[in-house]
Amino acid sequence: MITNKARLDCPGAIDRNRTLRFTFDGKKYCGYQGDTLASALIANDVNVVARSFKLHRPRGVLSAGVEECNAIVQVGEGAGREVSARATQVLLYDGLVAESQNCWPSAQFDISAIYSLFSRFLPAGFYLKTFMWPHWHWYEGFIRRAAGLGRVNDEADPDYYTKRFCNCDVLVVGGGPAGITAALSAAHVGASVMLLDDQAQLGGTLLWENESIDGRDAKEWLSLSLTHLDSLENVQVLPHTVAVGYYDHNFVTAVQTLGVHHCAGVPGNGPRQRLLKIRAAQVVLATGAIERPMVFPDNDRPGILLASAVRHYANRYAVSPGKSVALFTNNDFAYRTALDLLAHGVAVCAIIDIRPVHKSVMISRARELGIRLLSGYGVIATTGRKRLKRVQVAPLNDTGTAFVPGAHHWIDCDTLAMSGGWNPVVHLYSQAGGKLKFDTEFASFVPDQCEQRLTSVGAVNGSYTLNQCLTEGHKKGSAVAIAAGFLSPAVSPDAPLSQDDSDSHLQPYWQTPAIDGNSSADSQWVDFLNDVTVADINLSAKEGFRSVEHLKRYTATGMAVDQGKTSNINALAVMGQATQREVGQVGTTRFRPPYLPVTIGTLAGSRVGELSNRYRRLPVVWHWHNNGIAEDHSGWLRPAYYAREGETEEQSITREAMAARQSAALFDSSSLGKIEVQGTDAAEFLNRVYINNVKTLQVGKVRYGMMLNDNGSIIDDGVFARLGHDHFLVTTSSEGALTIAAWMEQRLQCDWRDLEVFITPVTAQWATLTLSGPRSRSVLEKLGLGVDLSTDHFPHMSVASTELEGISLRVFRVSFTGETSYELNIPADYADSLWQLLLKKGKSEGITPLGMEALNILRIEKGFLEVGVETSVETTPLDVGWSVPVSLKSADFIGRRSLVRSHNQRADRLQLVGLRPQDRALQVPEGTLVLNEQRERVGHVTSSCNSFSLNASICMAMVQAGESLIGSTLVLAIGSVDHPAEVSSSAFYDPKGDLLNV
Amino acid sequence: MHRHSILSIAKHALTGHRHWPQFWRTPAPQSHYDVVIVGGGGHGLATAYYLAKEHGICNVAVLEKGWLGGGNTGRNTAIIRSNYLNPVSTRFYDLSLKLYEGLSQELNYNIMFSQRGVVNIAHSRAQLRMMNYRVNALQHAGIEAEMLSIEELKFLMPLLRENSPSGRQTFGGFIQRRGGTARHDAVAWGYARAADALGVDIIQNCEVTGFNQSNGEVVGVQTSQGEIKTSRVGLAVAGHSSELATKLGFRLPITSMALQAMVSEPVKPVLDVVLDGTIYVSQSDRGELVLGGGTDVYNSYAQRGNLPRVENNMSELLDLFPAFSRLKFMRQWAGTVDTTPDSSPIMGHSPVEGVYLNCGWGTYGFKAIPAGGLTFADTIANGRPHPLIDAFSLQRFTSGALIDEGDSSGMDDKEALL
Amino acid sequence: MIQIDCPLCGLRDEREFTWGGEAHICRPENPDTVGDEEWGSYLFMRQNPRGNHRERWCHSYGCNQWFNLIRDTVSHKITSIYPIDQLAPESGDDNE
Repeated sequence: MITNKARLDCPGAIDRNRTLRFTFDGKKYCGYQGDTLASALIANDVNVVARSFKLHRPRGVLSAGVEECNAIVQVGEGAGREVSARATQVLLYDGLVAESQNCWPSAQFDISAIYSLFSRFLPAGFYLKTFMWPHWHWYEGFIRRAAGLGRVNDEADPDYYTKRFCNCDVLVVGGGPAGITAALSAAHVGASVMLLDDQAQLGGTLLWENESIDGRDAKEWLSLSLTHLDSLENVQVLPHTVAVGYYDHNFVTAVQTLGVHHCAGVPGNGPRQRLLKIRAAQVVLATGAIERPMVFPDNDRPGILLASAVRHYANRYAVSPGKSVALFTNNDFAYRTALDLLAHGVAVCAIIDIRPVHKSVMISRARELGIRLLSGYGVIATTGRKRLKRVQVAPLNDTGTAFVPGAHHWIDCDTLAMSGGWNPVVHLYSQAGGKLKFDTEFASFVPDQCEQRLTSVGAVNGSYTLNQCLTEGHKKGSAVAIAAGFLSPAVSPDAPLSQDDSDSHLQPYWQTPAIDGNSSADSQWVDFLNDVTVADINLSAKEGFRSVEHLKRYTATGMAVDQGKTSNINALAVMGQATQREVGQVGTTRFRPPYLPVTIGTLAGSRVGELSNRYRRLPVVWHWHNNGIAEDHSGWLRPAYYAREGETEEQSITREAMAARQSAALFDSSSLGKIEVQGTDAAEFLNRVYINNVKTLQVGKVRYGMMLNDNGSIIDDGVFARLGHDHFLVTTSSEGALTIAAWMEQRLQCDWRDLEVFITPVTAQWATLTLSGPRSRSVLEKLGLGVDLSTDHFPHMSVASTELEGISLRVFRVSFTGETSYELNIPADYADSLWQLLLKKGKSEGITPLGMEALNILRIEKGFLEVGVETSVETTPLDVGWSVPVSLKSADFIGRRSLVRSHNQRADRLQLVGLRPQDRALQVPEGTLVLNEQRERVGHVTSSCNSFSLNASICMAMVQAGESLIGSTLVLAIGSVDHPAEVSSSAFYDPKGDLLNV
Repeated sequence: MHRHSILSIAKHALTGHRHWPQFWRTPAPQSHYDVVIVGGGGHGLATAYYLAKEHGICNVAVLEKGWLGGGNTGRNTAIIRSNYLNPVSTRFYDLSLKLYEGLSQELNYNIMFSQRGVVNIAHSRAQLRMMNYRVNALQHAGIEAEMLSIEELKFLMPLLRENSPSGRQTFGGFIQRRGGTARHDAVAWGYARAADALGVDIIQNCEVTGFNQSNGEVVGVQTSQGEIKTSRVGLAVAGHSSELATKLGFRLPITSMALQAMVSEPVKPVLDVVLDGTIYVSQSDRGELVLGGGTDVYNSYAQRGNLPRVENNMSELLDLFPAFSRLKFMRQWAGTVDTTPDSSPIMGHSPVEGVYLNCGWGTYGFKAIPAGGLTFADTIANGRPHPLIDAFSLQRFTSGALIDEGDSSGMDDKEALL
Repeated sequence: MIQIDCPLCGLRDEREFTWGGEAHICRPENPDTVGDEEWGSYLFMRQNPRGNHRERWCHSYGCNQWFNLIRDTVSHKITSIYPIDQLAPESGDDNE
């Protein structure tokens, strides 16, 4: 049987036929379908639901909306748990498990509450003035463990997240009365409309205020309007979708909750949340307003709630936070809470109103109902540690700046509903770059002007009455649709009308004055979650932290999980009073995205795990079925080596390298960048791009070349082949595959527009398989390509185009290993077949698949440089032994001018050399420092290997003035031991290249 | 200067914190100063402090357009390390780190320098090789750094996923244990308070609108609060460097980019080291994950973040730490970083006599504050570059003697080249 | 997320484009004849204005065409888009 002690008799919007069981801090409770976790906790008389961040003060529910800063709890269990959920935003479901955070053993009884006793010694910024002797480190661990709210799961997220791009003519943010009328009227004009609301149900205040529109119950109007919107094809209504970011050019992000349960995805393996990336021609912000707390002594006790929240809970969820409610206000709006509670049969023991007696409809109604009205009174104290028991009130003087001495008295009540006015939700407006102005009538910041195509309607403008909301929404909805390019319709429906046109007569009341000469500033909470009091703000002002940004940073106000939704304006006002400035002069800090915290998984979307598309992949998949060990190399996943049972990694690598030297090896070079360069000026173009002379290259021949940037640094290297007079194929490093093509295209389009050249990147279209080794020709000949592969006819650095079973094939005789090698280019789709064919045909020749690591040994033996390994951003061709081009090549090329700067001609530059350690078995880690006799750093090892071919340890190194040191001895510093090594040329193996011409 | 201590807090607590003195005065500008520092961020304030303390030059004004510490000092992710590659950089940044180690005592203000270690992970053999080079170079220069095995990485970061289904692997890493983070605001406030106590005038809300020159020498600055005569001006205005250079009649090799940072909700400790790399992440003492990555992709002074970078960073974060998926991210913001072609700063003489440059820090400005201030003050006081910053001169863009630190910034070298 | 009106493809998201830095930087006609200072200035010195910036963009994930535009570096508002080989329109060009 359900026992909801605080449940009222009125129906509310809950379904009493559907009981839901839930657990909070290990205790079992029940609620109803339609409840939020917060309303269900209130229904069960759970007073303390959380503890504050710094002082661990007991806290109860404060609000009924997204602004909640007290009831922040963990929801869910195990891997599905979410930390720091707002209990007011968690829809109750059967089996929900929630627990409090930042407390031990429970929110009800928390050991750390002891901090509260020392609060006096922990003013704002106290840790900056202490904890430095002898060192911060002594204290930090303790502070770290004390801080933080929830605990992160260490299991993987069981849910997944998606994203969607959306476009519309009019985006309406906020589905309250203003937003709904705006959407209706924009849709009427013909615009495509998206209407978002952060709540699961649209309607905003209409869901819980007792209002009428067009002469009937507002809830009826709401239901008709929503039905109407649903029927329109040009309208998308998205409940449970919160707009969180407003970026440049009307780009709005929103998070759509898809799962029914707070902690789960759509049943049946659907996503949990979706990030909407919306581009709207026009945006209407109907984001409403948030009620602000009153600032008075001990205003943070459980049982003290926002007045609107009390009304909300009573009217919508049929719960009353208390049996005897007092109201503390500075405006007329809040009187509705007293009136509604009375209607539900809840005792309202007093209305404490800081304003002097004045006439208004609300006040007369309260009087008529016989409510005890204390006009010109303020609350000066409260009692009740875990639940409010009493409030003490005192009359204010005529100016409202001090209390009349000796006239205070106590009122017994278990709940205090407070209202200090309203803060418009200007977050998105400010994010959009909009400027705010201070509205003195409502004492709040409202939108002023913005360069983006957006407008605001309703309470966000300070238009607090229902009638204003409806009228503004109606008018501006069609106006923005017309601004988005739609024609004004011949007939427009009238704006809906409401009777509610009451004024709020707000009188700002930012903090409670001293009582009998005693300031109570240190017990008046401004930021509840971060425990910032009026005293902290005063201290901030006193010490000179007066800028609004300094205030925020010094006191941490507004920096908690709630990002100051209830506290920011009060803090600014208190700062204004401390520094004799108007609130408007103090200004606001910039509102930053997101409006509400966003799940990290939602921002990553599907770009996680396998789908994150982190690396490029080779067209040959044989590797991955045959023990190829995949590793990242220059952004591609490539086989590092092919593991074999019984072999160590090193043995596998050596076996592969030996095959290339002794028989034949097959290597997948498909990541090699390939660019087709065609056109009548192709040779001229490449002549400007390469340091080499391109124009003298004959058709059918290949040349090795380097490209520089205009600062003279090597950006890429590779061979280029002349396939026809006006047709070249340029190859680049794997890393440069994309960037070099784009860079060439930019030169042509931007700088050399007179050249007739076409650039086509074909890396993905053509796979490259490299056959290398003394037996490679015999293997290739078995394919019967119809090309005479003999050295006489097809010498080193040649290219031929042919076909294999009707498939285009290009054969390049080039070598990165020092052995006779053929690079076969074939359309990528056939790469895997060709790979397997070559393995089959080469079996008798001992063909062996070759991985990256073995290839690396082969190239080091040859002393071939790898751009980005031997070279850095500063390396020029002169540094790696290419002194020829600058002096001999007559035409200009990119980078040439920089090479003649004196800095580039210095003798002590890092130059590429070989190093041969005296200990021939020495293993030299790459990155080892090279030292001179004085043990000064003169260079480092860029590549190294233990060469089985040479039976020696060899290194490539960049060494200061290296070329001049050839023949001398330097030191390799490995660990704490120095190893002598002789400086040599980096060409270790077959230095003359005889093997290439066999 | 009022001495801060536990006792002083206790004393003030008993009097209701009513008698705390102001951190700094709010003086009106005088008509003449020996030195005018433009920019009230970390570098400007530190420079003023060391001018007064080390060189006895106290007739100094720091002019700040907005609120002090409000530029990149108050917007960065506060990582401090000296694990650079070039000897020039290592020497400079390690001096900075050493100064940071004693700064709380020096300024009598807890800057919360937490030396929890800065870790880099190698995801390829190439990265591992580069890290080995860096560690060797650092150790040779007498700076602590050590390679880490995969097991050691897992020990330091229990939630780290070493091999991801994305294909990313872990080959090892390295750590500089003396590296860590500090409370960024406190650095600016601490220097400001100490400089003010030595007689430096810190003038907030004072924008420099122009300069007075005579025969190629600076003779004064024009400000929103009137003209000030001076013969020595130090510019330390990240995000405004090019603008002021234009007013002085020269150009700089600077491109200003938006660099974003973002924080999550606070949670109990889950990451006790600073992880550096293509994204960098640490957990603040408050419990928030503080996260940053590369700059946005076009130049901007907007000081606001864009979405694509956030999406990239979060995707990267989850690839490393899948357990953070359900955690929520709470706030994003951006600073304007002045990037240079070689990712090293520009310090020393400007083309205008009497005007000195301290700019182009890119993403390295915060960690450089103490050494930047110390060497810049020395440069201004003596009219010649301090030996530690000689190589950072503007002249290097004519001679070609660049000091590339792109690899230490986590930015893509290949892109930087083109 | 700015939107750029590609001259060939129309209005598209910034993610389809590549930023190419300051426009109208002229490489010296004959590099051999210029001094180190002028050469260094061509290589490295940039206007980097706060306000209107004339810059190059390429619609890399679209038509792959380069063009110039003028963009405010604070508001990111684009006021003019013009061909790569044309000088900046007078309006909004306050950097010279």
